[in-house]
Amino acid sequence: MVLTASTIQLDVYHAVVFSAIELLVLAITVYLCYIGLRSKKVRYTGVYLSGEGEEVVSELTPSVGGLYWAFIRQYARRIYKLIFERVQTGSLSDWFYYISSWLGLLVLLSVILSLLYLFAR
Amino acid sequence: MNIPLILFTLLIFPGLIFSFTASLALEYLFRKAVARMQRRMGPSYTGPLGILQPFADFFKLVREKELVVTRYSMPRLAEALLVLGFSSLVVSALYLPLNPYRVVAPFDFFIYIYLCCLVAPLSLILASLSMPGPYTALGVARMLTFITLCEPAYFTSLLIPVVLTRQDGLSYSIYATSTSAYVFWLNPWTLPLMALALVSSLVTLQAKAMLNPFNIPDAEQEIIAGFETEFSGPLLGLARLLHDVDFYVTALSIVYLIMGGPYPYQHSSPQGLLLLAGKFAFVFLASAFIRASTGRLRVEQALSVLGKYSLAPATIGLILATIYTLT
Repeated sequence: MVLTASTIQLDVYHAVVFSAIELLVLAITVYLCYIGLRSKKVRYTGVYLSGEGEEVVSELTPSVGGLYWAFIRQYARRIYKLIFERVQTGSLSDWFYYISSWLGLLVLLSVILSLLYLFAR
Repeated sequence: MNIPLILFTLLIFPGLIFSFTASLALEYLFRKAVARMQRRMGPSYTGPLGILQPFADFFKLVREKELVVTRYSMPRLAEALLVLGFSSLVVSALYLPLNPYRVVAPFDFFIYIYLCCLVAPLSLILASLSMPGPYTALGVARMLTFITLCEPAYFTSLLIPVVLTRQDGLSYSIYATSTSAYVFWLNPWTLPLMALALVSSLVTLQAKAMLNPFNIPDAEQEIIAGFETEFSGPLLGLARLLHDVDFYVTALSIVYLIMGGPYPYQHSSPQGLLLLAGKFAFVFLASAFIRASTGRLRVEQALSVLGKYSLAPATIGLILATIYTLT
């Protein structure tokens, strides 16, 4: 490949700094142009809720927990189903078996890794 | 380092002014092509053959229309974030060989991906959340779900030619990849890998630009305008501009990194210009055809289609490309 005189060859760290400076200069320029161009008319309204007032909902945006469960239930159904069927059977012993086997695996892994570390050192 | 030339590339060509003009002109061509495919007229009245319609829409929204806000809105933050997203896309385009005074660095592909696939979508999401509302939250939730599949698929499809390119001192470089990509189309061993990358990237282009059949985050009739519901006037103008620039930069990246741009010819030669224009027209018309001939999918259907026709071929192609480079 031929790198011509119209090419700046940098290492990756300088390229990151170069791009950040370019981004900053461009963002400031665009923002100033936008401020100069934009309409100054602003209208204040209530929140649009399909014609209802704001009092029909307790929160205007979903909670973080709500978003998480919506994602899990709607888009990660398999994971949700697995967790629901294997862990939440309603039986305490099922939960105990699940959690003890999982913790047991983690303890076993930590023991093996500790031994490996001790012998390999 | 030639500072005036850097400022020229940043602010004029292929930076701010060129990207702004090209993306709005592309919006016109796209609307016209889709309209023709559906036996409609498309934009026809503003300027010769309606070519100035997207420019008129943008300036009308930004200069004339009022900004509607509620007491929960943060319009200044939304403006700043949309400007940041727009700027990050323009700066990412400077890494493509279209830039006459280009920056070349090993691993600059990751800088491009960071600017194009992380800063720009996150800016749009945060700008939407700065103007909160129930439909906005639903639109953003859909967009986040989409991004978890669409952006990795885009990254993986572009990574195939990047991995195949082997040049000393310039690994994972956009310029090195663009200049070598045409060779991979001529090699019978790498041709199928490039075909996988092209199919995957074309599907991803539709999803990234939220065009049919992936126009779910802004699904009209269902959730009003999704993440754009609370945008109005100047903010809506900026959001639409960001969308247009995103489409333009993504299409350009496919033309250069996967299809090889004008190479083996130079940009300044007639053959190079013709080849570049032809490849860009192919990507653009393929996208317009998919947009015109498909209807909107449900969220889970769209995710399944994205997985099957974008992420899976790109992943298979990347694995095979890695094996090919190791042997």
